[in-house]
Amino acid sequence: MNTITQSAPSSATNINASTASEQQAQFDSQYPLVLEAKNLTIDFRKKRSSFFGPKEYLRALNGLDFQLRAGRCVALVGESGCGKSTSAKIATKIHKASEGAIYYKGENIDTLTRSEQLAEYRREVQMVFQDPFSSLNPLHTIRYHLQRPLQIHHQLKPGKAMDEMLVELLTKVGLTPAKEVLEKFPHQLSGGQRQRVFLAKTLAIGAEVILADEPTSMLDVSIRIGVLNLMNEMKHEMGKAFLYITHDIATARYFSEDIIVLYCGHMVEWGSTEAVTQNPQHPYTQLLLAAVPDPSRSIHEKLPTQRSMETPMWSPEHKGCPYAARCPKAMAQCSQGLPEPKELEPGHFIRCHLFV
Amino acid sequence: MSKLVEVKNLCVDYITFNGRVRAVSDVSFHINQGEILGLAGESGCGKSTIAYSLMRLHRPPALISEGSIEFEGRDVLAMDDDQLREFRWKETSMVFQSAMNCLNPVKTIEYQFWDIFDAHGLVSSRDESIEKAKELLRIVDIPTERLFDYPHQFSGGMRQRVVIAMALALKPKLLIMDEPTTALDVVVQREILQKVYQLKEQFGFSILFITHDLSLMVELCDRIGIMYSGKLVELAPAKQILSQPLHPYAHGLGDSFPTLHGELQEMKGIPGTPLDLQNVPPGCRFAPRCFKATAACREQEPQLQQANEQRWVACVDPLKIASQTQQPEPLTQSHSEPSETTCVEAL
Repeated sequence: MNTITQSAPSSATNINASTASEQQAQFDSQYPLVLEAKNLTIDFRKKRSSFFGPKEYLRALNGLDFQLRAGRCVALVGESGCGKSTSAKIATKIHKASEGAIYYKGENIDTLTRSEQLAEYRREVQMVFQDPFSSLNPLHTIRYHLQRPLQIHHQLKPGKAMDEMLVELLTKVGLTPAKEVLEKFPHQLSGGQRQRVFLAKTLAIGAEVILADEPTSMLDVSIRIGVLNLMNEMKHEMGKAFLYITHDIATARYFSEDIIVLYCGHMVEWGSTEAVTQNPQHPYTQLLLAAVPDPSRSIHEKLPTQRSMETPMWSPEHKGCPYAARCPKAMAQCSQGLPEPKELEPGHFIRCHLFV
Repeated sequence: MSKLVEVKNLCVDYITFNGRVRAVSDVSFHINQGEILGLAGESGCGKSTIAYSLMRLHRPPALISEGSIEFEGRDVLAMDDDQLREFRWKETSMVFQSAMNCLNPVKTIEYQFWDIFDAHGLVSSRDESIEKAKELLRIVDIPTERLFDYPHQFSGGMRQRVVIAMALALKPKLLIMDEPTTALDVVVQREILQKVYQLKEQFGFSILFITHDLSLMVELCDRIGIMYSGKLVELAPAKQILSQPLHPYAHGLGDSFPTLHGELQEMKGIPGTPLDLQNVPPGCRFAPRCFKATAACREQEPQLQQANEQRWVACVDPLKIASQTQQPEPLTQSHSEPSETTCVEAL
């Protein structure tokens, strides 16, 4: 089983076995593991071509592993349709994995069946959605949105104590004057403010793990960075664990410690964000990073060549590397079997036949 | 280089139940022949409204209340319906954000090309139209046998390329691209823009490029105009606008895009929220969010003024350019009153 061994702050130059395990232990205690995905695979039933035809499946995710740790962030990047959001939906139990599972504090979430266990899981793992314009109820005030989780999950009664709590929450996420904001309706707030309300809601519930699905892509450019900075604060100061799903690799570099590049439901390259973004090795990662707009470059710089443009629809019967059809360096074995993960340097993994 | 389009003091109002809302206020710029001009800004700052006004595609409740638009010396605002029909697509064409919505889902691509050629009386037979359409598809690297497919059979990037091919069908002199690649993945986005640039070099048209992604714009455009709530606040050569911004808003935008390369540093962004155009405060519109706003900023509204040869800025006290030391010549002429001299002193 391959896991992301995080690049622990390694100041020591020669790492022998004992210090490495000590470092791992120190790393574990500094950033305790909260949520772990092991070999997540999900198949969706496709519409049959005829009534008597065979059942056909689409493999949206194939063997995804990640570890979310308190106070750290893992970014999932890739093009649309590569399975980024699906993985968050499995973690929130919207979808059920066909293979593999998610472990929350060591416990398989599929075994949580009693309602109080489920309530606890849902209290601690919260999702932030892309569109802040439809994720808040337009008929209710901000006060209502923040009171509900406190009433339901923490059995608190509305009153002066709760009011103080709400004001404190809103101040924490930078919405001031808090007392006025409480009485406003969602339509009276801008996109960035709404996303802040949503983050305040996850704080009110007391979430430990926040699955942020493109939280800034619908926001105006000038306020995106403010929301990212707020999430950064929640990560560092309140020790929340983040899964940051995005297609904007530059913000992923800004916000996350670890990154996973997904292609067609497969992890192609993963590890510490700096290592992957500054020294990409997989042909797909190289293509993706070369395409990111960067003011210091020019539009004329050539992209790495590709053999085709089409992203395949992966099915359980498919074999080999999903990128083989596009990869300029594809070899015979690329279409035969999925390459095994390989550690290029401490904390930087790749799945490519070129590196086996 | 000669000017292709000249926009002077353009004002566009939206008529609402609460009175007029000025979405574009006193905007002046020009586009040279063969140039790519970018317009950047947040949503609601009026950049798309300008694009629609240039082709007179705006509809009530929007109306152009002041200003002039000249295309090769002809007054676009004075054109009647027949002239407009000639003007659109032949002289200026537009690529919209969502390609799916500009293609008719129940007609083949071939029919939609024929529709354009037929409406403008360019072809005498359907076969001729098919030949021309195939040639256009070749230009944007789409296999010609796809001509008889329906829009849903294409991927998002291909659809956008079909729309670009259609926009170029009548060899326009100006191509307006309103967020053409926002819905696409980065790899596809770059391929399309490289293609567009190549076509521009080949055919020599000008482009008005609208997006909110400044990094992309800096790569593609020659000059960039930055808009804030209906006003053009800075106009500068693309490479200078992020490295040496004059307007605090441009500086703030530059501080809002994390970079992929180079040192990772904490970014501040811009505090506050965009202005509500229904109640515009007196003075500079950016003053409530500006880090160096003074009392003067809240009283008097700065006009766009020439800061040096290529740069224009609308700020009472613009930021300094680090490398430049000597005093620039006093502004020669701009559309604003010459009585305002406050702008230059900071340089």
